[in-house]
This record gives sequence, structure tokens and C-alpha cells, in this order.
Amino acid sequence: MHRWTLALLTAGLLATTVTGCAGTKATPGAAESGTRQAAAGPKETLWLAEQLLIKDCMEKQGHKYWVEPPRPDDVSIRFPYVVNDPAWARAHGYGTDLRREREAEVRRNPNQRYFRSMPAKTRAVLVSDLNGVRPQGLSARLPNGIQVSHSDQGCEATAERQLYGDLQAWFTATRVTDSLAGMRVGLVTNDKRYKAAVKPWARCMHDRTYTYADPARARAAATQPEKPWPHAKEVGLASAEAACAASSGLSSVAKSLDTEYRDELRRRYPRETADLARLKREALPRARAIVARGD
Amino acid sequence: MSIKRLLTVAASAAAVAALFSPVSSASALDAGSQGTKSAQLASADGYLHVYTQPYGGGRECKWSGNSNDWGSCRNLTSDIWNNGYAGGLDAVDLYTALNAGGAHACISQGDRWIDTTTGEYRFTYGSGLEQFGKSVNNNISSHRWVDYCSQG
Repeated sequence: MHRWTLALLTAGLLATTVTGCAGTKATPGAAESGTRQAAAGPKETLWLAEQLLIKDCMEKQGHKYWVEPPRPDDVSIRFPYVVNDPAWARAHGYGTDLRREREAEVRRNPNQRYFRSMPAKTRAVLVSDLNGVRPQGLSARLPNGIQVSHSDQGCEATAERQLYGDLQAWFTATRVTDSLAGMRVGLVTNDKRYKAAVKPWARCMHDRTYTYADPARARAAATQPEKPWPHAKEVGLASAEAACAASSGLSSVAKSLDTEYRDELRRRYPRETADLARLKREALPRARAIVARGD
Repeated sequence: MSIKRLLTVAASAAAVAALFSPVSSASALDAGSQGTKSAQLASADGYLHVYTQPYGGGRECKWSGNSNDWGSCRNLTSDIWNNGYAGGLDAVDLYTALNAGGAHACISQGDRWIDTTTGEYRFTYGSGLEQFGKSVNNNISSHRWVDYCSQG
């Protein structure tokens, strides 16, 4: 949390410096923008800008709002198929420790504390001012068939409209590409090449006394909430999984299939993928200005 | 000046974080509450709302925390609305089995799936696990609040 705050503040400072010197050609702009990018990439800049806009909007409604730090990647994002980083597995197993830390962090989160400290009536106002009163106004049909709707009102929608311009296009592009990511994992794990690669992985695991048909089942067994495993036991299984992922070749098969299906889905759904990239690209200058202004 | 504001924001956030030590690990699990309100009457309050019929029909269950067992709404939902508040862990993984077991689907903050009876809403996460690829309609038993719906 502190690391990102510092990085983003640095980004803000540098952006201000650059803006402040915009009139003078003597500024070594290239070097500064390079530093700025290193401090906060486009993703962080867009995130912070949206948060600043939400904060501004919520404050105009008379609420307090704290800029949210970017979220940490969870284990399913880090390792969608198989835990393949032995050092990470040794430290975190399947990440139950990180999940618990994250839950504790969210309990301390200033927006959450503020929200929970309010009476029910105020909480209702807070949620509708943030999310909109009703989840209506935006709608998208996802490739997996889901029809999803969302409010076009409220501070989140307002912020995204200010930042990205075309709110409906932004909504569709984000929801569709999110669902493509889920589809991709399904396609990879259903591919016969993945299934073939799982067999030597399971044999390797069996040699280490673990009898799981695939990594999904191993992970599910170790992370069952009603029977929490001791950390050492979770680490033991995840470490075996990571070692076998490398030696059996499963890790590299999963990686190459992931790339293959990512490209294929991009070809099958070119519009939303391209829209998302374009909307982000076009929003970036606006985001930089918002971060520089700091409002 | 803008930086000063930003610093103030960061400082106050940090101060709040520092002031309050972690809540002693009270269970994140929340008992479900059930009501008969229609969708129109349901207050916007930071909950995950589910209904046993499409378009807010039938019975409602709602939770602010995680649930290992949807109780009277288990395997009986056709409308799902994530009306969570900001602060992290605001998307919801919806699991087919009790205790966050089996395959799952994910719904983002502020999103609603108002009629899942079409059969097109499927569990797309957790390949190889129970009910993967099957319809979520009348098929959800538990949930977890998470940070993201995307798998990268």
C-alpha cells in the first residue's frame, strides 16, 4: 500500500513538474516521462485518475471518500493453471495467508470503516451515490451468454464517463474482456494437449505421495474453508505441485496454450479487445492531467 | 497545491490504517438474512442480493460478508445483484457447492444478472471441478467476496 502511494505521488509530482515546465522547451521531457512511466504505468495512472474522480464526486455529495489503492493479484490471476513458482509456493502455498491478510486489510480499509460506521439509512445513500440507485442504463451481452446490466448513474459511472468518454463502450469492453479471460482458462484446461500434460504431472505428484488428478483439485483440497490446512501442509502440497509443474512440462504446455487461446479469442472478439485498448489509450492523457491536478 | 491535497489524502488514509490495528479475526462469515422484499423495495446497502425468481421476484437473500451456505436460497436463485461498496473485495465469486466448493462464476461490483433462467449463465471458473460449464441458475450454494473477476 505504501509502495504504491509513493509511486503514484512521485508520478503526480513528476506530472506536475512536466506540466509546470510545459512552456519552456528546455525541459528534458523524454527523460522525465520515462521516469514517470517507471514510477506509475498507464494502468496505475488510469486507476488513480478514476479514484480521484470518484472521490471528487462523492465529496460533492457530502461524503468522505479515500482513494483506493490498486488491488493485489490473487492466486487465480497469478497462477490460473498450476502454481509454478517454487519460491512463491514455499512462502505462501496456495496463498491462503495472503487471502487472510487481504481480508484483514479490507476490514481496516478507510472506505469500508466509514461505510460500516454509518446508520443503515446513510449506508443506503452512500451505496446509491457510488453505484447508482438501480443497476440499469448500461447493458452488455457477454460471449458466454450472460446479459449483465449496471447503473449509468452514481459516482463510479460518472468518473468512468469523464475518464473514458463512451461509458457504454467501456462497460461492454471491460465485461467482455473479463469474461474472455475466464473463457481462455476453460479452453486451455479442456484442450487435449493440456489434459495429456496433466498426466505426467499427476504421476510426479503421486511419486511424492499426493494423489490429485489435476492442479485444480489439489488447490481445492488445500484451500477448503471448513477444514483449513496448517500452513506447512499447504506449502508442502503447493511446493510439490510447483516442482512437478516444471519437471512434467505442464507449466510450459499451459503457458503456450494460454498464449495460443489468448490470440484466438482476440481474433474471435476483435472489437471489444480493440475497444478496450483504444479507450484506455485515449483516456491516458486525461488521466495524467487529473493526477497532475490531484483533484 | 494539488500535491499537498494528494499528500493529505495519502496521509489521512495511512493515519486511519495505522490507528486501527487489525480487528481480531472475527469470522468474515455472515449469516444470510432473508426477506420478501421485491427488487424495487430493496434498499441499496452494500449487500450481495439474490432472488429466487428473475427480476427480483420470489424470496430474497442478502449478505454483506461471505457465506458458506446459502440456506433457503441454496440452489434456488434466478437473479443476482452485487451492490457492494468500495474498499476492496467487492466482486463476488459464486460457487456451486457449499463452502466455496466446485466451479464458480464471478459478478463484478454494481453488476446485475437479472434473469439467469436463460441457461446461458454458466460456471466459467474452476475447470475440472464440479459443475464447471453448467448453468448457474438454481445452482449456487456459497460465495466469497474477491478483488477481481478477471483471470488476467
